[in-house]
Amino acid sequence: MRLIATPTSDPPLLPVPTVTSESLPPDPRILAAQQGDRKALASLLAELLPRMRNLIRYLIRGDSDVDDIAQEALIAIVRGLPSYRAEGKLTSWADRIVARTAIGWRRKERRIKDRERESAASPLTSAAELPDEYTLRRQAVARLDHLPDEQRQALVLHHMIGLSIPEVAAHFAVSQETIRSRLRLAQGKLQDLARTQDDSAKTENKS
Amino acid sequence: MSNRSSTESLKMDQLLPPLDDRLGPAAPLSTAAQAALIEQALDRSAAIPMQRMRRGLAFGGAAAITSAIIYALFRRWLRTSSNPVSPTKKEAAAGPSPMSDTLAKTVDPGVDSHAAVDRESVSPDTSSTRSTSAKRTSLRSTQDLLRMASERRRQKRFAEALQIYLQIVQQDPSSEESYVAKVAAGGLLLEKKKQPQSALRMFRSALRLRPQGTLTEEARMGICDALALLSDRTAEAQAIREFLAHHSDSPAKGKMEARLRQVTERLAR
Repeated sequence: MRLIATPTSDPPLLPVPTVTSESLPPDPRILAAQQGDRKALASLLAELLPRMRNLIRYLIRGDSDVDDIAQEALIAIVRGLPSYRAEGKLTSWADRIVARTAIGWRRKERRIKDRERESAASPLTSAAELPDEYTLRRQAVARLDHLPDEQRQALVLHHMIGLSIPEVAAHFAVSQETIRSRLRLAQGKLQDLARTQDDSAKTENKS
Repeated sequence: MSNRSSTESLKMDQLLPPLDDRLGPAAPLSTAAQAALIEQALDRSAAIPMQRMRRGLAFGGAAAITSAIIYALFRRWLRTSSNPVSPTKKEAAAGPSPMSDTLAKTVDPGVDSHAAVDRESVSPDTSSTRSTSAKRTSLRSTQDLLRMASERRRQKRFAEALQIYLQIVQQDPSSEESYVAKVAAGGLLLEKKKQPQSALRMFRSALRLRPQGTLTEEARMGICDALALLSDRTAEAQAIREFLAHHSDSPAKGKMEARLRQVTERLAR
């Protein structure tokens, strides 16, 4: 198993799966970026950034830290790019770095101060002009905001990034059974929340 | 048990939207702001000491880059202190080398090779040495200012960041930092200050300064956004057409085409 080379050792490194059968021809920008071409690097990062920001938001509560974490993750990607071997998708490789940065960020934050938890996603001024899909995603992430960090992170790493249970367990340095338990609890709570939302919507419609 | 798992898995698919690069759940961020975020990250990455780089690159790469920096600085010192004209002409005739180009971008982004050629070619007298030296000091300080602005921005001290960007523009209007500062300031003026007219001036000025620059797409997108905020539909439609003409491979192409259709429909009413 190959590990991402990243500049710090805390938290533990996430494993990078080798995806040779599905590998596409390497993007020429990757090689150029590895050789120091700033324009190619900026272009790659611009392509990755929207997905990175989405993943960060799935992992953390509220919008206020998303761009700060995104910038840290961008730096980690730039630093780690020389180690990227184009064996798997660049997005999968980047996802793991982003997850590591976001989870590490929350850990740092908790060490520094007890932050007040934001119970729901921050409101948007122009939400009315945004597409339904966006609204649905915001609703989904608002449900995630109700989960404890450990359950939320396990859920996102397993269901969104596609890490296996042993990989998630290795990341958090806990047993596989603990991760299975966190996933079960998280799934149950999300289903309850979704049911409650449905029931309240039905009640509102009736009244 | 397996049935239960598959049911839960199905439900999870419904409960958790896919991870992709489409809008949501992260709050929307303008293209200009995204570009500024990336520029800041690149600047901060370049400022990281070599010993913190990955082990694989730490020895060979660091030695090569350090040698190249020393060599480039030595050549520049020779050029300005002995004969400011002929080496520049030689370089201009030979064209920029890939290494010097990379260095200009990664180590000393404040130096624009064409601007440097122009400045040094037109004033070969002894006073040019002083002015070039002063200019170099000024370029260095605009780099520092750009880092400061990025830091303020990271700390969400947007008003201070904007002031610093404007200072960079005033201090050395033709530098690479000024180009970046103009696009970044345009974004802040538009998003944080809601001053589309000032933002428009910044974006247009950046485009005039570097018509083929790395932030051209962001500047053009910023112009479209500013004109939308100004409710100048005709100009906005024209700006979107220009954007599409210049950036036909942009990831925002589909969005901009849809936006053009909307604006054109509104204009037709």
